[in-house]
Amino acid sequence: MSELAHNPVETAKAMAEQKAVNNWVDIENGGSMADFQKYIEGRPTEASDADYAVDNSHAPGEYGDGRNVNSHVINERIEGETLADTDYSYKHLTMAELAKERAEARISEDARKQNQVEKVLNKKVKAAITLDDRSGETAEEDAKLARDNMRNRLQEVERKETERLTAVEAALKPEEVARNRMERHEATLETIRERQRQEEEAQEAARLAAEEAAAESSAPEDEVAKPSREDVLRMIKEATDAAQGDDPEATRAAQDRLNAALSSLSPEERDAVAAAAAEAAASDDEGGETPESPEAQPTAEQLKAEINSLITTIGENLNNEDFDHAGTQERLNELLVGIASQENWGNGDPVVRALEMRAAKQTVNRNAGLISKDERLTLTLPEGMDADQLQTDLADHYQQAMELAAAAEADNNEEEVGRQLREALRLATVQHRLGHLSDEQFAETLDSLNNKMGVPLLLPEDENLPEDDLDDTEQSDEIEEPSLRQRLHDRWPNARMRVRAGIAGDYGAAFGRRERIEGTGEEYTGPLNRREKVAAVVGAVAAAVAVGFIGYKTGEYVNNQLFDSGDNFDNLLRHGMTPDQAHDALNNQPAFERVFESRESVQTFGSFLEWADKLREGGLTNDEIIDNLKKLKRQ
Amino acid sequence: MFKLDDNLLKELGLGGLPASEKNKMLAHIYETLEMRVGMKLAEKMTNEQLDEFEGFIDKNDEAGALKWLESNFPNYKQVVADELEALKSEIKQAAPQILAASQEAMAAAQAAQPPQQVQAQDNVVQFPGQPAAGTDADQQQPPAQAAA
Repeated sequence: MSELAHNPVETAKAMAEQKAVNNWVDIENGGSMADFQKYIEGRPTEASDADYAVDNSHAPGEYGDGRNVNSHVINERIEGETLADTDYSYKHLTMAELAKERAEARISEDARKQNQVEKVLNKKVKAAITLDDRSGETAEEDAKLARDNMRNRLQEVERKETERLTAVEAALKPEEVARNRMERHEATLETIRERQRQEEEAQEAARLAAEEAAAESSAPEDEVAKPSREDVLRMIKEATDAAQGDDPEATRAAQDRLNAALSSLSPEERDAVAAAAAEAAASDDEGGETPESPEAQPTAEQLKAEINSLITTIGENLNNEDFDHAGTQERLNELLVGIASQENWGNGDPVVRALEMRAAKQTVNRNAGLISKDERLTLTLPEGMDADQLQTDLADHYQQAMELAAAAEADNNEEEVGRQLREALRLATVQHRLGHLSDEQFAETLDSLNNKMGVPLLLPEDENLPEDDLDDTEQSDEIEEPSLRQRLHDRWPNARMRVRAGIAGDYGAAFGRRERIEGTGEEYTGPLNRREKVAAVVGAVAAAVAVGFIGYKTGEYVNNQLFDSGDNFDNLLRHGMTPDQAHDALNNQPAFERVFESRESVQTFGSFLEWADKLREGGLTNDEIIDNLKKLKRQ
Repeated sequence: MFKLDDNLLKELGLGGLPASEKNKMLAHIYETLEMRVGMKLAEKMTNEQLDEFEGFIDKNDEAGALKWLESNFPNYKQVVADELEALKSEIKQAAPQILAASQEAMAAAQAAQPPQQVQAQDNVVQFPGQPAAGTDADQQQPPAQAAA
């Protein structure tokens, strides 16, 4: 048995046979292991047909001769098995054979594998032996080959890593692009702020130098030769050019020279020089060297138009990394210098003019979106500047502008009145941003200017008026159909109400529907489908914008020259508003119209733009202008 | 620019309507135009566009809806123009009946109460019981002055 245990074939065979015999013994009700052993030993290797002949004559448990199976079963088996018994044992033997075959196959497979292992080992051994026998030169070649292989493998690894990183990079690109863009944007803003700081410093130095020069000129031994008009003009040009450059020292020096020269002039001479400088600046802006060709110079209006265009361009390119932001700011500087010169901002005072230009630049950049509208605009005092003196000077300038406006009004010089009032507005804005005026004082100042100018500039804040009182109740009492834009505002909720009520209207009927909609017993056409729901609202929006619907106030038609708001929208964009600001302004425009209606003024959109431009020129941002409109709406 | 005003009513043959009827007629034309333009635009919308615009309705975002319209249907003003022309043709055909109905209604109203002096001025439609045009405006104080 021990031998069998180590021979899987024999073990399997023995197990199969034992199982077969056991079963057989069970069937025959009396078999034992001894019988089994006997059977194994005496079993014929080959049975004849006769041996397997069918004998169905004996009863169960007996053979045909009636002998007891238990005592003679083995011999009976040997002498003649029944078909069923033979078949049964045969099956199991066959299984044993199969098991044997499989076991043999496994052995064969194991041997084959072992053989292979041996072959491999032999090969390696041989190789090792061969390697040992090889010359040093061959080994060197192999080493080189190995290095090459290693390098190739490294290159392959690097290539795959590069591919992987490229894929990762591609996945991360949008974030990186956004981050880079933001960084560039911040850098641009920082550059702008830095330049503003530099301008501040330049003006501070100029101011100090002017003070020193004034002190020197008032000294008893005043023997300084008065500069000629040409000299002063040249100095103004040098100072202007230097201020546009990047060299603060040069700017400071040029400004010092200019201030020293200006301080030696009388006020009348200064005014004359300032006027001549404005003409010269206009000539320079055109790029020509011949101041004798004023007709070729852009007017202040043209310069303003270009600034408005720039605002739009900047706004459209806020996130455009390829856009030349620095160049645009440079151009903005040039345009502001040109306008300030032509309109004589600061009334000849370069410090005031510089501050006004800085304030205007802030306004432009905020309107363009470069400065957040949530950021409060402030002007900082340059280090070393006498804040009290500057505050006094600015207040004096404001007073002077108001006096000049009054004088011009007495002369019926409307153009000069407007210029001086705009100067006053710019001064007030500068004072406000420097912190010399509180919000309330600024509002009061603008209210005063408002009365002077005859158009509402800015109304004082009414703290007690709740926001909710803005729209419907007060307007519905006074104005049945206030204006086109208000119609849009009204049509929207009306359309939404119709949607909620399920009234889409019978689109084919031109008449008769009004009573049904406005009457108490509204008729429904049934629930709206999705397209009808959208149609009810989009139609209201489209028609309100596209149609200049006549506005009629109770008792009179008040507006027979309504406008196409689509064009107005474009106009606002051309005037430097962002799309959001334009929408906001148009949404609040009815308030503006109402005010002008009450003043019997023109109600055209042109007057609205003109009014907004005046505010803008005075230093108000578009957001502040819109706030102004909203305040008007509360009145 | 498309104007819905007194001139339009005259062009349509409805210049003889009383002032109150003119206002109603203008408002009615406007609402009808809204509906037709709305259906015309909505018919052209894809399901995605319907979803987007419904979003503005549900959020009560009037400004957003306008911006969406301007960017998705930049020719919407032409749609309005076409629909207005079609509507005008219909109204012109119906103008005689509208005028007749209005005159009948006025006659019935005048028969029911004593006549009242109502005279429309040039280009100014006078409503019954209201002061002349301009008077009301003159009486109003400019907001700035009122606030000052």
